[in-house]
Amino acid sequence: MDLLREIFGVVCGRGHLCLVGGVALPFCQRCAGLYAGCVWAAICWLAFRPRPGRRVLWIHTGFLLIMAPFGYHWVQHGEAIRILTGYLFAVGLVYLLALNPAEQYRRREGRTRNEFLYFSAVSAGAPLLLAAIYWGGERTAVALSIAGAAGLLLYFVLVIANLIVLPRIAWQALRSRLKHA
Amino acid sequence: MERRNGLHVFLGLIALVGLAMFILACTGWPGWSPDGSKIVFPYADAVAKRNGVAHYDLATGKVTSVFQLVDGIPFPQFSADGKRLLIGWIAMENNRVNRFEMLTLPYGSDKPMRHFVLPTITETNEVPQNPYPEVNGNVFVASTYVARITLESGEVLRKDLEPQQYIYIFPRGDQVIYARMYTLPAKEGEEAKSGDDKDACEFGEVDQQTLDRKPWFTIKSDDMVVRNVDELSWVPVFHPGTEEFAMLARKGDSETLAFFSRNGFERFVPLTLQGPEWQLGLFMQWSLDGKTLYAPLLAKTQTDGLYDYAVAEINDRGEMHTIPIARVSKRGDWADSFSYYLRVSLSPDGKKLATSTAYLPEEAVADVDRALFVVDLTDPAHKTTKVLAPVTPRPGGPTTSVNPPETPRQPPVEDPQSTPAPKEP
Repeated sequence: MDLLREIFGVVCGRGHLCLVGGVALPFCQRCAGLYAGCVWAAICWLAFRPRPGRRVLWIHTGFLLIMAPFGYHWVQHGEAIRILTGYLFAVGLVYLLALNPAEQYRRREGRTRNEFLYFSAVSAGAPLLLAAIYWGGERTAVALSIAGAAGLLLYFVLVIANLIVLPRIAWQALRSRLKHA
Repeated sequence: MERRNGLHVFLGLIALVGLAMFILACTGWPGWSPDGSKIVFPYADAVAKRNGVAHYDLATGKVTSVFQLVDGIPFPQFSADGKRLLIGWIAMENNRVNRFEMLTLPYGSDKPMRHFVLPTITETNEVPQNPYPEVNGNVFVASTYVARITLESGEVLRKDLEPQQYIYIFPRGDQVIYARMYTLPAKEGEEAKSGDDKDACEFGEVDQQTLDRKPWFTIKSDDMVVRNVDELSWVPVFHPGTEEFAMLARKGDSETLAFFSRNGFERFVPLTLQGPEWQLGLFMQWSLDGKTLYAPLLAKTQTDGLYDYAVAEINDRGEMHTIPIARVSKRGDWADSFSYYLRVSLSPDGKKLATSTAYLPEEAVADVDRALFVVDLTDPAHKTTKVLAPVTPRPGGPTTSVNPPETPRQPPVEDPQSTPAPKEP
């Protein structure tokens, strides 16, 4: 746990500490939603792979935008909202960060039915996370900390993947334009 | 297809930027730098007859004076991004508090220096004290008004309170919490209370946009919690993991913690003080895991007027362990409000604790103990590093001990045991 605190100390100021079963998680309440929620969001995405249609893209973009009024404190809120906004932000981030690398390396075959299952699973994650935080014991705290660490690693992988893929896509688009010019 | 790819690339970039912004946004006396590598603290230079702000680098051990005032009490802290030093001070006139000023100095950055002068305070002697809450680049200051200073633009927004009103504000993560002391209207047949006789305290949150107050609850002198105690500190100490805060209360010779939430009083937790007339300071701080409370402590010695200043480490059962700091003398009236001179401050990672005697009056502490003390909380023995304040050397050499208040002033006397520790059972 001390090691995790050291690691998360770099990315999280722990302004609102997240306590589970009397144990302080190595990150704050909002980051609990972001990092621990990332793991569930990634599992849902891998399981159902909803197609990036207009509706799906708008919903995930909305999950990112919803952070603005709460992150900038335009709206007063408490612990539950911090966790939920962090979780929704994680869902949006995972989908949009996985979007381009997945299209480059794996053909998407999602069907409409997957969309429904995906959002159902994602929706179920929110109350599960809240329940774990509010009613969990020390073991839950350890599990959430480990999930958070896994989430942080996942974001790192997704960021690296995007940093590789996005310039490649941009280069391909530019070459195509120059060819047709 | 190309159009869709373009949209996906755009959203991917948005996600990258969003993640970066999230991480960047998430990241007392003495004041720690955000990375925990530097400390700023006020000090009193009796020989030069001025007060100043000292800067201590933990890595190099170097301490320097970065700001000096001939007349005034400086309150320094780092800005949240570590790129500025914020130094507030109270300008006095005719021994009364006159106005509050703040200087923002660039620290390792090219930010411009700015000087703010806030209104004259004439009705009360209540002064804005640090730590000044800082949220999203706005610093908040309050006494008979609430002011918001935007560090980047230099814009100041101020909202005055009603006459004879003043509030204290406290940072709590991204919130600005206030405590407003006021006098209840006299009941029928009762004499109206004097202006200084406050018998109610309202707690709430300051709206950071409008500077309006959003009250939570009020404690009145005839409320149950107050009837059960002789004295309540009115200085909230916020628990890091819950919505609760605690205040120090005294009943007879016993100290206790009174816990409150947004709804009001929750419970008492009695504290086990190890000696008679031990006094805890008001400005305490929780450890990051919320299990330990750190507080300044004055422990009476066998000599009247001499106290051992220590840091009290209090667990969740109210049991106390003490970390000795220095011996001090209660000469002068500073001891009645010692909480404003002696405070504790945890490093951002919670592994170190800083406290300072450097601002005490001249005769309250020996020159060899006028220092910043940094305690390593990860060390079972709580190894303490003493960093002497950068004061002007005293002709004839530094004093090495303090005398009890009744003793006439004498030249410095060698005393090898200038910092005895409070004895634990």
